[in-house]
Amino acid sequence: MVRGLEPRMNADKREYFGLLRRPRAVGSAMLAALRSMCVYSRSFVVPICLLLATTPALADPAQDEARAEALFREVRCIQCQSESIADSTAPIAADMRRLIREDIAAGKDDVRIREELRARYTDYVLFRPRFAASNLLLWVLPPLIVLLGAGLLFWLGKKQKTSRTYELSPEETEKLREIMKADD
Amino acid sequence: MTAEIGNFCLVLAFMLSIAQAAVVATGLRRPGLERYSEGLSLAAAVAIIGAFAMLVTAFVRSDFSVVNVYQHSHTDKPLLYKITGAWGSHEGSMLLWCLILLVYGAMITLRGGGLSAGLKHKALGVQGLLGAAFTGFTLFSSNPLWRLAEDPNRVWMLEAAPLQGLSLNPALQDPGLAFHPPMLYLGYVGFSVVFSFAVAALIEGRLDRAWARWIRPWVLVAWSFLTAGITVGAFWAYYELGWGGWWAWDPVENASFMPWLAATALLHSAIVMEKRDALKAWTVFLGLLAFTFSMLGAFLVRSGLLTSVHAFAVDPQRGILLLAILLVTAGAGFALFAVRAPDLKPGGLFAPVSRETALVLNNLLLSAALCSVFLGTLYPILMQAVFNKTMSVGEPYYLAVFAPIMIVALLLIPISTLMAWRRADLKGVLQRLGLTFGFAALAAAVGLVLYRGASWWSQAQYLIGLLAGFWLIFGSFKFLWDRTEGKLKRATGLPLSTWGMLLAHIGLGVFVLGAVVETHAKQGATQVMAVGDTLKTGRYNLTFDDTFAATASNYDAQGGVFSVRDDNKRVCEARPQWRYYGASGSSQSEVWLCFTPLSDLYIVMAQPQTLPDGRAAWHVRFFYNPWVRLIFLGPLLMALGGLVSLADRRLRLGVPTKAKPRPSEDTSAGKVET
Ligand code: HEM
Repeated sequence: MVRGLEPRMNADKREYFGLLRRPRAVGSAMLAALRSMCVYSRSFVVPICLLLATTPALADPAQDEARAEALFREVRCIQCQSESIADSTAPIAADMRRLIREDIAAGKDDVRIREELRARYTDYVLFRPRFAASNLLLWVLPPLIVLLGAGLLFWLGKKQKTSRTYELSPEETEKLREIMKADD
Repeated sequence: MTAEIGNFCLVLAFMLSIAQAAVVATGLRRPGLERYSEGLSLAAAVAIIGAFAMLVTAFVRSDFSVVNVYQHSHTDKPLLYKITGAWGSHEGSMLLWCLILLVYGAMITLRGGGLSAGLKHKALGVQGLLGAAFTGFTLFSSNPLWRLAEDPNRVWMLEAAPLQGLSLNPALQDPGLAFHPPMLYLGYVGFSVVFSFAVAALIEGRLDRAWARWIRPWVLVAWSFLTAGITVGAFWAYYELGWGGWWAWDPVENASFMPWLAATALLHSAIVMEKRDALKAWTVFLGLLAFTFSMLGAFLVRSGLLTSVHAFAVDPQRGILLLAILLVTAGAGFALFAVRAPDLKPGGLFAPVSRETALVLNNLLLSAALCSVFLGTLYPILMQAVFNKTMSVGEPYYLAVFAPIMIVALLLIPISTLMAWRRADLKGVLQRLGLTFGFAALAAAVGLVLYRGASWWSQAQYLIGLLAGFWLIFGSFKFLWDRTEGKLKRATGLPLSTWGMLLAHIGLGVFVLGAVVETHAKQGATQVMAVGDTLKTGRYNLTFDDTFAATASNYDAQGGVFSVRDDNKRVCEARPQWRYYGASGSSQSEVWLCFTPLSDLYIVMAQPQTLPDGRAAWHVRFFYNPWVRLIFLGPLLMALGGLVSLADRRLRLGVPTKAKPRPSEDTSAGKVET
């Protein structure tokens, strides 16, 4: 989830190692990350989360713009055809970009901005589906296939190793000869 | 008369296809007639060629008494776009689909010399059924050859043939339309042959290595065309739609990507089946799946379920018919599979560390990747239909789920190609690849330093992506080096299928590099500009110098003359246009690309407006797309690889085998470690 906070495109002109030279930026990024993790896990009960949730964000213009760019790519232009507001030239996309920039400037974090967009325009507006029960299959099935498949392969490999070594039966030897013949 | 002759030919093709299926069906009971399916398949192909030729003729002649021509053509269009307009609509593209389907059917007859008669005729029977379904659908519900008076929809209250047509969507008036749909369909429909062979083999109850060898050329042909078709489509979207991107994870794009993923898995599993007589049921399953996804794509594009830049606007009725065809054919195929698959003798045992195991992993990962694209495409549609809830699935989802799975698959490739069949020495392979990996890591690290990246996360993605790309390319060269020991003479002796594999995997690496660099290091800016204004993107400066006007038979354009400078050094002059297509009353921007070998400067002007001070201005977008060329070059290399592999003599049917035995296949991974 932390991912979404991070700018994916470097539309700004910051340099490599730029982050390291700006401790404030690192600080605010880490704060935002921690905070969004808290919100996602819904564990507001944990006092430290409460504390964080009330800390004002440390403003950093470059970081803000990068955050905005990353968000733009996640938000659908609601009157266009499968275009994000980052890509669209429609007036409504420009409005939405402006609103998101204002929200960021007002110190709202990404999670809150997403929630507000969702409240206003429904799930349709976000290109990243929520990690919710109704979307479980969407998120979990593909990795599950890999894990189960790999597990199955591993199990078969083990079983095979313990069951027998290669010793061709006469029948198989005959078949093998046939195969080799057919191959050339 | 053209439309009438065309219609006659279409009816003929429909009846011949039915006959082709029928004679095979009778042959199942009482053998004898089924051999006529060969002649019938040839006749059906000739008939459909006739129908298609008549449609093209009607377009060339601008015969507006034909509904489809009236709706999609105009006398002012250049000849090329008149011709391509023949498949620029739903109806016309269905006829193109039928044309390719029946011609592939004829190819089974023509190229099937080495096939057993039983299998060949049964495959022809299935192909005939498919042909009848699709020609029937075209004939009765989506006929591009209807005259205005015959149109069952009767929306055209016209007494006489109109003098002018409504013209084609301007976005389609582009050379891209000449290549994109035909190539895509040659891919999609090519899998029908594999489908037919799969069903035929299931009916016969015989699946062996020979079967795998027979389907491999068909898979390669269809896969190569599909690869090229998707690439051309992506490039077309890139320079025609003016948004600066090339892939939007749009449902229609995904619809073409799903059969591609299934076919890529099939390509590899067919090799395992051919070499090791294993994975039989799975290979047949993939064979059925590839064409099922092709049909799903055809349905999605025409269902009216999607709003997409690529979709045809079609009434839902015809969508339902297509869905019915899809469900019946795929359903029958998979039902047969379910009944017969348990009888298939499982093939040889696998050693846990061997090339075949690596290829099984490839299939596992590709299937999971396919699953994510499938879910991502259908979830919003199902949510809408079942719960009436709207939702979106886009790039962030695919980056989170699809990309990691594919990255693992890519990292496996160099290892797998160095592994021997039957039993490989993993440690030895890894040792041989150590230096290669080191070079790839070094190259990726250099790339990272040059990248003025934003966050650690985007840097990590960038690094992993570059690593995968370089690893694929270097790994392929390492393979080549090991196989030839650097001697040219040995290189020329390598089988073509090995060259095909190398080209395809290198192409994949090239694509990955391009995609990673383009998405991460792309820069762009947008601004309303009048003459004299400048716009900066990255280190490039764009200056609006002048305007010009241009006219062609099908449009009037206003254009801008822009100069692009890189630190005061002039890079190029750009002349994008904003075109007004009078015939359809719509406008379209014409992108200008400043080509360099690797990267593009991409300039679009749109939405003309007047500034408060009275100057004319445009909405101008200016992108720097680094390494974007590789994105289109890589897949073309892949497609070329497929065709090179296809040319391998050993794959050709009916070619007598050479007297001199080739080196055993089992050592094809180079040295066999012991
Ligand atoms: C995902 C995109 C991939 C593409 C486009 C691709 C493409 C190809 C092509 C065109 C061939 C030649 C097929 C033929 O001659 O019939 C091939 C062969 C091969 N591929 Fe891939 N491949 C991909 C992924 C993989 C993966 C993930 C692996 C391994 C884990 C892999 C391992 C191999 C091997 C070992 C061969 C050679 C088989 C043989 O002829 O002995 N490939 N690939």
